[in-house]
Amino acid sequence: MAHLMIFHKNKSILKRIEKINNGDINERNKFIQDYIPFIIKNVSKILNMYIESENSDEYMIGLEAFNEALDKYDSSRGSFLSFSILVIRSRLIDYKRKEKSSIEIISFDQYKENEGLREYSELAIDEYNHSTDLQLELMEFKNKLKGFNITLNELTDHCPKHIDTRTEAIKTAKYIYEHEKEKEFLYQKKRLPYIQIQKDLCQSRKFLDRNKKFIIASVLILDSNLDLIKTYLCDVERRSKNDL
Amino acid sequence: MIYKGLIIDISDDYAIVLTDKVEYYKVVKKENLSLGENIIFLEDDIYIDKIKNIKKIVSYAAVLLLIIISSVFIPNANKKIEYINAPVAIISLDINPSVEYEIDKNNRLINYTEKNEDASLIVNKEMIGKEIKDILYETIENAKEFNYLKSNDDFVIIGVGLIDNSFDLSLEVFEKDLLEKLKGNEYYNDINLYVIEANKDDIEASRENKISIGKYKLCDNYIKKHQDADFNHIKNMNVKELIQDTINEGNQYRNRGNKDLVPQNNRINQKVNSEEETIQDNKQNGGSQKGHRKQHQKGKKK
Repeated sequence: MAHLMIFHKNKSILKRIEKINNGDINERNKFIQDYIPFIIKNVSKILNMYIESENSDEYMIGLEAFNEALDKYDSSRGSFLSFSILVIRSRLIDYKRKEKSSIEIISFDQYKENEGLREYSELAIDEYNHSTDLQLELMEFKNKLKGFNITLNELTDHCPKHIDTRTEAIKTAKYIYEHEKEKEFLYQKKRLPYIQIQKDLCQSRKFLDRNKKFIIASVLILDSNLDLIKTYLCDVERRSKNDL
Repeated sequence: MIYKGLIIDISDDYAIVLTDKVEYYKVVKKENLSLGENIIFLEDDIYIDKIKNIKKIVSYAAVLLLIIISSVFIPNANKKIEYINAPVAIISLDINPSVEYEIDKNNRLINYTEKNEDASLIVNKEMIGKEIKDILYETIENAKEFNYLKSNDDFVIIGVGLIDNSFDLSLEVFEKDLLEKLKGNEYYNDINLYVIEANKDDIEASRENKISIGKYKLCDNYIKKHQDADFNHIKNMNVKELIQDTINEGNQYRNRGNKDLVPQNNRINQKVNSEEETIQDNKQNGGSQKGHRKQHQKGKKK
């Protein structure tokens, strides 16, 4: 049965490639869009590292290689997907080789004389500092969680699965963060101010108990300098509707 | 599905990512991971705790094996099996929140039942396994915090019902232990405590009426004095209203102003199961009573 399914899948891919090779640009774009997870998976597997973002070089090369495979493929080369993996691998290896060979050692005098180089290195230092600050903030977040007897491990187990529950829990966290008295209560007593939350937000005790670790973690994030994660919390509802 | 997020922790076997949809995931470790790095990952990259999984499977298999062995090899399988932690008594607590606790022979909590919605505020699963007097104290603490015990007009009704008659639970000792614990904190000086005993018939009747044994006994007590009253109406009264009768008869309560235990011949905490006592009381009060209980008490033996 599995072989039959693969046969049918390959047949439908062939049909689509035929349309693409006949000049159908919409079909080409749609096809590439459909196979983005496949491209991400194989780029990550080949390099044994995660892609940073849609703007990263490795991701762009993967996309271009997949596009190239569409142009070069014919049925004598076996399955299209296996062929595309070969092309992606080949392009990534080329890229890595070029990256290595472009590293050059310059003298301190060259550095002093070249303004562009200085600007570039200052940017790199800024980025390094920012990254160090972020790491320190994350470590502080981990320590603060410890003060509430919460570990990051537990958050992976106790994170609400449904987006509506998470949104509601974040709403609770924002409420606590924005109300000085309730925030003070949380930090002093190391537990949620149940009475006030139930009164003002009409949330049940059961909901609060089930999600208390997530709520507390969210309050700590809002009360930190983790700006990027704070924007995640603020935009959670919008982001969940706009998937990649 | 495609996920985007920030690496917030790295350990030996996995990294933890917080996604832009505020989900926390463990992901498989790959090269060059660093804290604070943004990554894109897929479902396949989500780390499955193999050891946890194996432990789960092994424990399920062990339980299954045990069930099979016990049903095949243990003779007289129909015989009553004695469980180590079988409930031996039920303790109820009523203020406005109403909760019942099942305890084992070591006076430790096996299970609890919230008899009304408010109860969820004052009890929690962490109480299971603790000693009943500590749990009652903690419950009273929570009730005070949530403003269910505001003034010295509020009452805490503790009902005690034995399930296993061989279990030795002395009402006086039980009450004394709890009072001593409360006395240790002047915050609870004004709490009025009322401990009442119930038998198996009372337990059954309280189940049928879906109220706690303590509240059931109060209603039972009330109806003895107001025989024309409708039980279904009475059980919806709050404990303060129900206990008002006994207050009006001028009885004292334990722990009011930290007083010592009242002597045995005081009306409070006397067993109210005896019909003779009831008839005697009614004669003293000058009413004519029939000396039997109303129909709501199904299955009671006289």
